[in-house]
Amino acid sequence: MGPGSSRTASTEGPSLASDEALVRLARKGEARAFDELVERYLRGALAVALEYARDRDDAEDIVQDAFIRTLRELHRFDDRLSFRPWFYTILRNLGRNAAERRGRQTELEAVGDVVSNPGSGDAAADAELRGLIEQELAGMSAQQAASFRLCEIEGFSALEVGDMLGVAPATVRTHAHRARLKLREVLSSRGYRSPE
Amino acid sequence: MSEWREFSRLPGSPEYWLDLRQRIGGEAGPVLAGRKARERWLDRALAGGVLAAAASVALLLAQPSPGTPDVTIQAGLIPADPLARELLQSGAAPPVGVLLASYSAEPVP
Repeated sequence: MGPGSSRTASTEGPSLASDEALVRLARKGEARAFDELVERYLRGALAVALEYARDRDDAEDIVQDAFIRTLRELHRFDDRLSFRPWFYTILRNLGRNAAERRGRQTELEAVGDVVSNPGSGDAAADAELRGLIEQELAGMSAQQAASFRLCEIEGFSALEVGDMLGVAPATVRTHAHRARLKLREVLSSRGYRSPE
Repeated sequence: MSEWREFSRLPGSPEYWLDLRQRIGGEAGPVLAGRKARERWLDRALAGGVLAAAASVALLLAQPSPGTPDVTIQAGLIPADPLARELLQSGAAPPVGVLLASYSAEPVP
């Protein structure tokens, strides 16, 4: 289980209920059940939304819209199916819509100005390395860059990322692997030690 | 943990995630309240329906038994006709003479 389905930071402790059980409760208006779903999917949702967004504020709006849309559409959800791919389909559709509204040329584009966590070591060198990585990711296909970011950088499993992006987990692994090889090659050619 | 994780774009602060959760929870509040109200209404409607159905069944069970209707009525004959009564209540078939006598006894218009 990756960070997308983490159950941390709850004041009342994590629930062992399945997503689908929570959906049934949320459908009846149970706020706790809905909050639990939000907690489970918030990190993953923001990670995916950042692939479509101009900046973090924009991504937060997409995430919020996705959760509210999901809540409104819960009566359409088939309990026999898995909630995760259904939710991420809604999120991706809203991300695409937001990207189209802004008139962006590509829907999955590298976002250079939302890097938030400063790495250890020299700040200038970190910034340069980040810039280089973002630049290289921006030159890759959208799926490849997103697979790499979500798997390698954000730590989600290939299974989760498959649902997030609407592709097979094997495809995610392949994309992430190829992106990693490219980045290693570029970083080593510039004299950087590539992260493991 | 992969060193690539140092390049995460996701905020690390728990407060950030709490704020975002609360923001979404605030937006979801009216929708959830509407669902809760609708659920209560449905529960009440269902309970009312069950009660109404139970009352209908009780009313039907409380109806007095209609009893056994007259045999002549069951056979579609005139109840006051003594011949019809005798015919239906007799264990054996009536002799033809009785039927003919009865027939000839009828007034001619």
